[in-house]
Amino acid sequence: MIKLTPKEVLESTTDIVKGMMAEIIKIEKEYQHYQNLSYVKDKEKEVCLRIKKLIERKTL
Amino acid sequence: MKIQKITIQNFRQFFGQHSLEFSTDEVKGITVIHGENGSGKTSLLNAFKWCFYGHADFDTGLDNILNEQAIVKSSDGEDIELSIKIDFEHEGSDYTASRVQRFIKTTGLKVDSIGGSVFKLRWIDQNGSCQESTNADTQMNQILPEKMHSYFFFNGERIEKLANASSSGQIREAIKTLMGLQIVERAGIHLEKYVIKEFKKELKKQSPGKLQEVIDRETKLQEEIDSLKERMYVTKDNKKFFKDEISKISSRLAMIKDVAALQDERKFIENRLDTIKKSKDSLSASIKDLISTKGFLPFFTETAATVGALLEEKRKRGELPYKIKQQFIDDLLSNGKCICGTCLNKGEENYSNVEKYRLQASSKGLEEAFITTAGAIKQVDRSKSDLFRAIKDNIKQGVDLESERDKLSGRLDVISKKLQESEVESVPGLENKRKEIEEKLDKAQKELGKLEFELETKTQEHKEAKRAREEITDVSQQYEKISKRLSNAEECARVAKALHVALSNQTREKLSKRVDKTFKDIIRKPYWAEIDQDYTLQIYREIEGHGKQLVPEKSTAESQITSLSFISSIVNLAKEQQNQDSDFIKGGVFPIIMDSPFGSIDDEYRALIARYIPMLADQVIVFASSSQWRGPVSKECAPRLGKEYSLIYHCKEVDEGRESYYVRPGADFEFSEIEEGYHG
Repeated sequence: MIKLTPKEVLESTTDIVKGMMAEIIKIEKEYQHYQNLSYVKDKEKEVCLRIKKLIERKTL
Repeated sequence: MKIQKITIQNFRQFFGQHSLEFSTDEVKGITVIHGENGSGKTSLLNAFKWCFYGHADFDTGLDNILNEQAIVKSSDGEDIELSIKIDFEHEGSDYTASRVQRFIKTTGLKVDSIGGSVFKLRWIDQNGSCQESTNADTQMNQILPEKMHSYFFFNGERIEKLANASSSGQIREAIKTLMGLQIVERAGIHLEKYVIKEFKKELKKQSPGKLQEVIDRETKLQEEIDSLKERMYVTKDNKKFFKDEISKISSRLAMIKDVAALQDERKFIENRLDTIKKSKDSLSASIKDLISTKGFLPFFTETAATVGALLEEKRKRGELPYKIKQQFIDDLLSNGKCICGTCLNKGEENYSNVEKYRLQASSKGLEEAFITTAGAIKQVDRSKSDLFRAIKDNIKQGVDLESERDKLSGRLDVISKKLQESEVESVPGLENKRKEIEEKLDKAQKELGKLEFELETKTQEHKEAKRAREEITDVSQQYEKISKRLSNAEECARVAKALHVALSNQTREKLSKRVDKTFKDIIRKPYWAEIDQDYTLQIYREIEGHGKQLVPEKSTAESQITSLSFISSIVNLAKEQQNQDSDFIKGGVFPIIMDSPFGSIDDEYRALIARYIPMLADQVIVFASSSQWRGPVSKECAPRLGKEYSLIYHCKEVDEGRESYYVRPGADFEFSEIEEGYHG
């Protein structure tokens, strides 16, 4: 398997996806203190819904 | 995070209230707490854990955390308060974390706790006003994750386990959490497990019949892939567990004097078998490469001969390369004059006659192609022979390795049989257990191979289903909109996963280099440290004729040094990472708080640890007995020493010769006091 650097991974996608990724990471950061987010179902669902809405908003 | 002060009240040996201020100086960042055995060093270390997370690592759990004297001096039915308060600075704000547990004295030395302990977290915000967290436990975990606390607050005598193969999970977790990699990982999981699924559901509602079938198939395949991944994860875990068990049994056998030599021989053979396996894999890859790049040659002989004969015939007939060059004719026509002096005017017969030669003359490209092809055709036979020779060599090497492998495997069976028949009481039992686990390991390995194959097949089928979905175009506008969203979500998931792999690899490699540097600074032997692909912290050495070899048995000191090198390096990398501008990786400043870090180590190693480890962290808090602190450690730490405290231990009586400034007999109860400074 070819080993890519983080920079190469980001260069392999479009600017739109890059922008979406940066915002998705921002959302995830707000929930990073939950050690096992999958155990806190309502919070996990909340993160997923926010990511879904973000993609809907950003996809024209 | 920098710890500024701890205040303890009625906790373990500490009766009443005591405070300790830690050095936060950038240069003199070391604080030492001196104390003899039993004076409360481990209690103080655990005070941090209890305050931040409500747990402690005492053998008796939390049953005896309330100070005995506090109980005695209270009346029946009276409330007693146990509390710990820690002041610390984190990312520019000053925090106070406090935990209080109230008790009620019943009778004698018995107390009942009143409810659970209460944790509070307050801080001064940028406007200077005091804030109190409404979700203190969660916020504390955000500042310093509980699962990471053992990397910053640790007992040096128990730290060596990080250097065991079984700790690879902990090391992976530490890298992931401290560097913030889990954020990227979670993004990938959330996109794949929820967002993409939801978009697919919406898409299905908008789809014509045929498309619904394709989406159903794609969803089903995705579920099968998820289930296979889950099974692979469990099987890998089992494999790891079996390997650890075998390693434990091997260590036990190696410690039994009568069979230690056999166990050593087995270890050596196993290492060699591992190398043989790697060499065989590399040979197979080389044969595959030869066949994929040159495998056509044996089937090309006849064609090459025909092409060669055709070219030769054309050459003999003077057609290839043609005696007249196209450029020469072009020049004559352009100059309007033949070499015989005849004028060549366009439209006239002479011009047409010369122009006819242009079609027969060879172009530069054709001539070059002729020379290259004719040359290559002549080489075919030789290249074919080279290919056969290379494949034969590889096969021969493979056969030799297989023969050595079979011989060594036979020897392993003999060793195992000898151990099973050993007269030393515990050996046959251990060996039988080992064999039993080896069979389970073998089964797990086969299962893993089967799952990998299934996963590859399903992944391919999933790709085809996805392509089929994308190719169906007879759809509504709403369908197209959702389809675009799905496509973006899928691309985000791909990027998140690839980014997580890339960041993990990059961080692991950086950390591996840093651990190795620290390890080499300290260790006396020509060893080096690496964090391998499986996140196992390994120590290697070079053996002449055998190359890089794993150091199979490390001494306690070597394991301790390896673990300390890892902890200090990760703290250092996290600090460096915090200063870099990155959306995807975070880092941070963390202290190192270590209890008896020099326990099983000789003077020279103690000095080197004391010199190098504190260089890597901004703040170091050391709990040490006078024997651990004496001489070289004290000398090495002196330039960076910011504060010193002593624990004065009061007790009823002490053994002869143990009485000192720090151990004082004659008290009614055992208790400790904290005094600033150190009296040697």
